[in-house]
Amino acid sequence: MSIRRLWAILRKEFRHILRDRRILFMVTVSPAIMLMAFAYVFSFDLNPTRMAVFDQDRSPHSRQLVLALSQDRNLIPAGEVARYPDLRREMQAGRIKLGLVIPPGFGADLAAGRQTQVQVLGDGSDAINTSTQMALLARRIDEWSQPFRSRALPQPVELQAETLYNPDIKGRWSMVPALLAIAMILPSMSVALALAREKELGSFESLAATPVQAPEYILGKLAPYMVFGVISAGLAIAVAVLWFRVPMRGRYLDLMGFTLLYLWATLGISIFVSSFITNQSTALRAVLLLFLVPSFFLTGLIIPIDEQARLVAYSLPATHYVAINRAVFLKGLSWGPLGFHAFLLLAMGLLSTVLTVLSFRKRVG
Amino acid sequence: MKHVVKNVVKNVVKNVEKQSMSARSQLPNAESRFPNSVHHSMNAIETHQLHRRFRRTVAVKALDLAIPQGIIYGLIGPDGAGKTTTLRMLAGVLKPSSGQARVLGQDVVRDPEALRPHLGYMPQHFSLYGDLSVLENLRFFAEIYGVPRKERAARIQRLLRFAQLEAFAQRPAAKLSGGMKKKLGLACALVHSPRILLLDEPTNGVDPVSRREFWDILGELYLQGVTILITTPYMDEAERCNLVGLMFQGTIIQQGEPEALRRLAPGELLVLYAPDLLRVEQLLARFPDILSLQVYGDRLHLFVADAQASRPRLEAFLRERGVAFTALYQDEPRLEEAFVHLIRQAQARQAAA
Ligand SMILES: Nc1ncnc2c1ncn2[C@@H]1O[C@H](COP(=O)(O)OP(=O)(O)OP(=O)(O)O)[C@@H](O)[C@H]1O
Ligand SMILES: Nc1ncnc2c1ncn2[C@@H]1O[C@H](COP(=O)(O)OP(=O)(O)OP(=O)(O)O)[C@@H](O)[C@H]1O
Ligand SMILES: [Mg+2]
Ligand SMILES: [Mg+2]
Repeated sequence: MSIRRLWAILRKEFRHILRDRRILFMVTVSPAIMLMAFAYVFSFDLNPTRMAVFDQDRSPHSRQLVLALSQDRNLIPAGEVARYPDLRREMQAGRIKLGLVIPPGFGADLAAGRQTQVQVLGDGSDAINTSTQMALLARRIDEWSQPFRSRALPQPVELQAETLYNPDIKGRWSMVPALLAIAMILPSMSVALALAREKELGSFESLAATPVQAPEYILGKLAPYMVFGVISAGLAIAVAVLWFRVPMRGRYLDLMGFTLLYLWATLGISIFVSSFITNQSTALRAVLLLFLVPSFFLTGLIIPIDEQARLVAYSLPATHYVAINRAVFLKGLSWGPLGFHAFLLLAMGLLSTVLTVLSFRKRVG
Repeated sequence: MKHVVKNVVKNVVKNVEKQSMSARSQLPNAESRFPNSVHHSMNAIETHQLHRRFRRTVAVKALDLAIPQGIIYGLIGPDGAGKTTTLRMLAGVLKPSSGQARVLGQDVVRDPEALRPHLGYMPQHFSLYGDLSVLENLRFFAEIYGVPRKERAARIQRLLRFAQLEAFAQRPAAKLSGGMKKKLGLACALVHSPRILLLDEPTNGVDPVSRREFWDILGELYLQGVTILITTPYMDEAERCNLVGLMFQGTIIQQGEPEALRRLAPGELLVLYAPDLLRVEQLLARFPDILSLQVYGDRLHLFVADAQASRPRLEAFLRERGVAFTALYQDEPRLEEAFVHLIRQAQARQAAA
């Protein structure tokens, strides 16, 4: 590893970027533009959601209600909690999206023909899904309470809905931070193209015959795109906050730290994959297939993470960045509770970079 | 001794500089052909049973090369013969399927890195950075090769002058003409003063004047003792090399000094100019003396055992059939004729097998 050679590669890469308007566009303003476009076109959908129960009544009636709801395909029972704050804590940590609070006397009220209440908590940071799920839950509870209905009691169970973090259920508030994960894939697309371009144009063959070493070459490619990645992320975050008026409840510095980890993971994986690819169109397709398509459907961006696909979801950097961004923007969380996601991003960045350096061959064909 | 070497060097330089289209020069003896190698017993390039296949294609096959230090070795051969594949393996940017290769004593199959500081490699296709200027390209390679900072500027200036690119130092490489690109490629391959140069068709598409300038540069490098392995489609360039290897289907089928190879042309050469070449070519199939026939644009090259004897017979043969021809004369066979003949022979042998 020679600093002098690394420096030579770095300067060259910066020149490539700064001199090609298309590349410069791609690594600076295009994520912000992409974020705008997607924020306006995202669609709604529904998927099973984890719900925990705080049952203060523990009567046969309350048991029945919980059992009936657990049959619902849209709900995944996430157990019971013993205290109300636990419900909030679980939601804060992202382990549940819905919480059901059954008050004391719920069974007794129903048995006596009096109206009773339940409270439903929803995680507004996942707005689209939560609002739909809450409406559905209301209907299920209504259906369940039919047998107790009478002329004097048209609505035996009254529903109190409370949405945390995003009380007005603003779809954009939850979508825009999550879409940052999609927009910030553009730098990794650029880096994949840069690697493939060097091989396609043939300059890699000249370079391969020089004493340049794999770590110098890899870091020399990675670092400039990290720098531009941070710049473009800054612009995209500005769009989120200034244009879409998404509240920023966390710290910008934290968000930048997480963004750096996300960029490292996505750029690192991109570089690893494209180091085996020799032309730009294949490299582009690989990145689209690897990141863009799964990031839309598997990362909890639009539809919640499928239980069966959890392992796949967790292996995608976007899954973690979506969770992190929603948590930082809307819940104001920091490194502590998001450590798990941050750690996985760091691991992906580190692992992909090490693997690339180890598997890198200065060869053509 | 020194004096002898100097003389021989002069001789070779003359050889390098002369435009040896048809001139036959006095052959120096074998030892003196390679003045720079007199002091070294080691070969600069050695391969043993080198193979490289790409799926079904065998690009290089059982290649045994032994190239002495300090010579200009010309690798010629038809398209797809495996020249580029050979150079890539020697440059350590392509792994052989099997076999051994040593360059400057370094095993380039197992450890290509050891050779890199001493190697200058110019790939067949333009392989510099089009968006960087001429100067930036040179600086980049100087930095990658670790040319000491103190020497860098002077050396780059010298190379710019050498390649006559001074006026274009600030121009993006993509906007150079074809010939200038090639010269820049050479300059970049020379920036670290390599001891061995692998040049893959460095003058392809370059005009004759630039080609001569290019060869002047090679001549100077030759004098400095640099070993040069060059591929070229131009036979006049091959004639400037000390040693020429003719490659066909992945292996060397003939190797020798250009003069020796030239004499492998089948017999003596008669050149015939005629307006209706096609008709003449058909007719000549029935003319018994001809050993081999090659078409070159507006003329036919006919090889016969004895030109003196065949020429009057041929004239009579053509007159009898009322065929017009503008000229018929004997000429020295060039490397080109030998090349075409040898390749055809190899093709025929292969077709028979
Ligand atoms: N990367 C590759 N993949 C597949 N086949 C290849 C590859 N490189 C070369 N070949 C094949 O190997 C053979 C030798 O090719 P090579 O480029 O070495 O020939 P060459 O003598 O340099 O030809 P030219 O004079 O046209 O440059 C050809 O048949 C070619 O198609
Ligand atoms: N896109 C361009 N931008 C700026 N200058 C250019 C561009 N293309 C060519 N030139 C310059 O114009 C001149 C003529 O270039 P051109 O490529 O037409 O020459 P050429 O006769 O084809 O040369 P060669 O035989 O080397 O290919 C050169 O000085 C070249 O540097
Ligand atoms: Mg070739
Ligand atoms: Mg041209």
